[in-house]
Amino acid sequence: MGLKAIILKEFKHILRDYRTLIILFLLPLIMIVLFGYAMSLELSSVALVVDDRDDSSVSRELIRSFRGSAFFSLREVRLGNSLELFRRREADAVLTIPENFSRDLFRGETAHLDIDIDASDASRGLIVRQYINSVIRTYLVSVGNSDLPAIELVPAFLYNQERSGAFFFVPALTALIVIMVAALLTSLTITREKEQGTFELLRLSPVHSYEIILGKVLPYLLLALLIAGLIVLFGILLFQVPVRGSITALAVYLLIYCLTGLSFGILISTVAGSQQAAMLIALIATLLPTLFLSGFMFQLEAMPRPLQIISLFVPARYFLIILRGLMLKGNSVRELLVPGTALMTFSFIFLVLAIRRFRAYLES
Amino acid sequence: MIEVRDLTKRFGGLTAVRDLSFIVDPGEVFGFLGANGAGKTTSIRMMCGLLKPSGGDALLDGISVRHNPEGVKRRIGYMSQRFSLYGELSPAANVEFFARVYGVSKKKIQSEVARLQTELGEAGAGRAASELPLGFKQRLGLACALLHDPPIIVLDEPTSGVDPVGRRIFWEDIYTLSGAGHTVLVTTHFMDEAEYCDRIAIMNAGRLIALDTPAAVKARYGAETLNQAFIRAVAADRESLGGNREWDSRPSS
Amino acid sequence: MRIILALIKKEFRQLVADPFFFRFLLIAPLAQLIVLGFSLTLETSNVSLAVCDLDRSPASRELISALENSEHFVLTHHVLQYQELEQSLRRWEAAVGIYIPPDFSRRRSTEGSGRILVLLDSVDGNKALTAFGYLTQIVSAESVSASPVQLTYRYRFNPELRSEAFMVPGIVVLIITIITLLIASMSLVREKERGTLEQLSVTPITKGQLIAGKLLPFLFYAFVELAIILRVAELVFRLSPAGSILQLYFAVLIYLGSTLGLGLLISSIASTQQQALFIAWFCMVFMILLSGFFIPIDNMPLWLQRITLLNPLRFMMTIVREIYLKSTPLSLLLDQLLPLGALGVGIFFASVLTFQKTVK
Repeated sequence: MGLKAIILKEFKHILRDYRTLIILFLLPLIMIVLFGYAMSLELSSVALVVDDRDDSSVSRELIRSFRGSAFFSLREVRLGNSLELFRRREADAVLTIPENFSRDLFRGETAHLDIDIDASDASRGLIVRQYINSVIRTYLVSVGNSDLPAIELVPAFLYNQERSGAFFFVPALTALIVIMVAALLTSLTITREKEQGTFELLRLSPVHSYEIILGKVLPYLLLALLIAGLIVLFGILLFQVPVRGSITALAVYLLIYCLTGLSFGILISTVAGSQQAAMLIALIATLLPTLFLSGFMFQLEAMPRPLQIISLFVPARYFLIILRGLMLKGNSVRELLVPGTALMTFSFIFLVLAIRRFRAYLES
Repeated sequence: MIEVRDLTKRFGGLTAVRDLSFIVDPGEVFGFLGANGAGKTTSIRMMCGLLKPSGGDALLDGISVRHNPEGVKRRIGYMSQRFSLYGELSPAANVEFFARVYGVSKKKIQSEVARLQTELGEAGAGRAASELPLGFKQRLGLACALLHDPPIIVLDEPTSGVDPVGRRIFWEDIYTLSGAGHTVLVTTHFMDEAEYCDRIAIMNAGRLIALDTPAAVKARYGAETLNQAFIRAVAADRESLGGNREWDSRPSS
Repeated sequence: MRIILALIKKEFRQLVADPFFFRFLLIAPLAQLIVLGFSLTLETSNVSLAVCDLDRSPASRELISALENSEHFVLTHHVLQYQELEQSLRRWEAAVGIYIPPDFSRRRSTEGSGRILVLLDSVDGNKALTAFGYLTQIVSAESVSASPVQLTYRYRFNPELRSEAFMVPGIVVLIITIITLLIASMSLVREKERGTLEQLSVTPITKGQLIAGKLLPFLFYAFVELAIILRVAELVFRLSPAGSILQLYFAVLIYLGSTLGLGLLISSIASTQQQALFIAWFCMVFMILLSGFFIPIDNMPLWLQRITLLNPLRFMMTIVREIYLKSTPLSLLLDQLLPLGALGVGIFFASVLTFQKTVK
């Protein structure tokens, strides 16, 4: 009886705080749109500045092959200073063709080409190099100055042929939002009652401790599931993100992950003295690790060892593998046994800890 | 000293205060009574320049609340119902801060801080203000309101939650202030305290329903205590309003 | 003036009286800098690689050892069949699978080039692309084609191609943003929540004095933090601004006009600290996403690029990176500085107008 009352009150409270609700729904949707459309390493165009000091038919042809490529926007200078050009943000790379280029080529001696690349953005610099390299190589092959590359690599982009950002991010955002709603909001609602003193009333009332926990937590479980579902739906409808694996498994793991977040929220509420403290702890302990140490966006293998070890304890890490595996790779549950077990173990541990601590707190 | 003329406040379709008019003489201890939601706090806030009146005006020490709310603020010392000083700072730090805000002389600041230290003891004066017992908190609030020696003092339920002894001491302070020439406007729920006022005003449903000395008010309603008189006054007024829905279901002001 | 000083003094006293907050203000940015600096890498390294070599020739073995030695890849599996290769990708055991067909070296000697199939787990499309890029590089180094043309690539400003170089300056600005936007707005709302704002309203403090008294301390904190973070970045990441630090501080000053203004605006909207936190967080996420920090602005659709023109962080991000990495002087950055200034003035103006001393 008391359970229903608590649940209803909690729902009313959630609905009344419409500002937070708007943010919770709007934020992930906007992020999907953003990441779906914009997050791509592929460069739209490379601003190439050419300093042709040779001025020969050979150099002209080389320049023409760059002009022919849709990936380059070309500009010519004479005796340019590449540092200056980079500082003015007028070039991504500067190709300098020295004055004896064609002469060396015809004499059969080694000819040189100098390419300066603005490497302040390292990954962009790498790709700029790749683009330039392939154009130059192709050109050299076509004029017979070079042999065909001895090894030809044929790429096959599996599971996400278009390399759509949305495929990568829809599962990631689901993980993020769930942990936000589950851990952050749950911890806040309990500490708020603590701060306001209404918690004392609850404790003294004939309501069971489990009714209090359930009552407080169920509305947020629903909210988290709702938003997660919306995100997935949005991804499917707008970006054609597939669900190649079992939908049931997806739902079950989503539930388990939600429970992990909720347990964490309850745990935080037993430790935090004020709402502010709860907020900070929740952010540091859940949001940040999920953002940075779970494979959400940044590759774990590229991080230093200590961070990689910490990431082993971030539930989101396993959930992301499961979700991406189920949706994009069509993994079977058996193939996901390792991350699945890890997630369930964490969930179980947190749940038990949370209930015990909460009970202890209630009865103290 | 305080002249209120047809002060009115509307919130959308709701009229919280309607055509309030009265005069408070200099040096008077004036009590403002009314049930929760009667319009007391709204009226006070208008008079202090915190809320813009929808109609009418109030002149405090000759300054119009409508046209020069900032000027009014210099003339009043205000103490709110709940503790609204900086709890994490020491009483001395609070005093220092508000004194500086009002431009009080260094000498005065020093003497006030010294006074606090004797009252609270060296240790007490240095601890966080939120750790003080309630009675001391209220007295600190009063002290901060008086730093700039304002001619008018407005106290919104200053003794709520304080024990009878503490309340008695507080009212002695109020009398001292009145004797020194300050005009004191007090709102309170404690009817025994209302007896201490020179005159009282009773509000109900946003209007003034009684304005006289405590003795006269008791006589008017044939009551022996002000408590009785208050209840009868409000009841009579409610009846005359005919149980009007609008007045009965207003949010607490 | 004396009122503003009194407000500032009170503000500092409050800070000292709150040890939790104090420690947080000091430690959190440092922790963020370190954790973010190391984890925020759009780099790709240690990519797990599985190989199916059906050719088993010296050439193929050479290639495989070149891959093994590369720091970009970690060879995890040798498999015997193509299906196993696909399986290891599906089972998350490898991110890249290399299939060398049995006729590889034969084709190479007869036709001039042999083909290798590369399976790439493209769940993370960028990782797949970058990995393929590394592969191409390694392979082209291996395929010694007698080319008389020597290409010399020089990576300017960041010869070691460190990804931290690009990220750390951004993180520095991020931390400053958090302090001013998030914490300033929460601090203002706290006064509202506790009722002290009401007490202040009854005093003759003017709106201008109140705002100055509240925000100036945060300006001070921000600059102190900036100095600390710059030093820490230097120690931990071996990165210090190549350009003028004074100019950097100047640009930050202008930028803070926007963030403090926004903080003020948020405090007018929010009635509880929780709301302030959420709204400020929301704004920050937006600002970061649309700033060019993760996603290059050039990659965004045109309509989105136009929206970023309203984001002060976009301009600050460019400025900080240019000064840090390329020692670009502000004179060449006027196209960033001026909009930043305009936004700062506009936002601050709007926020002051909306701010009301009195509580509802």
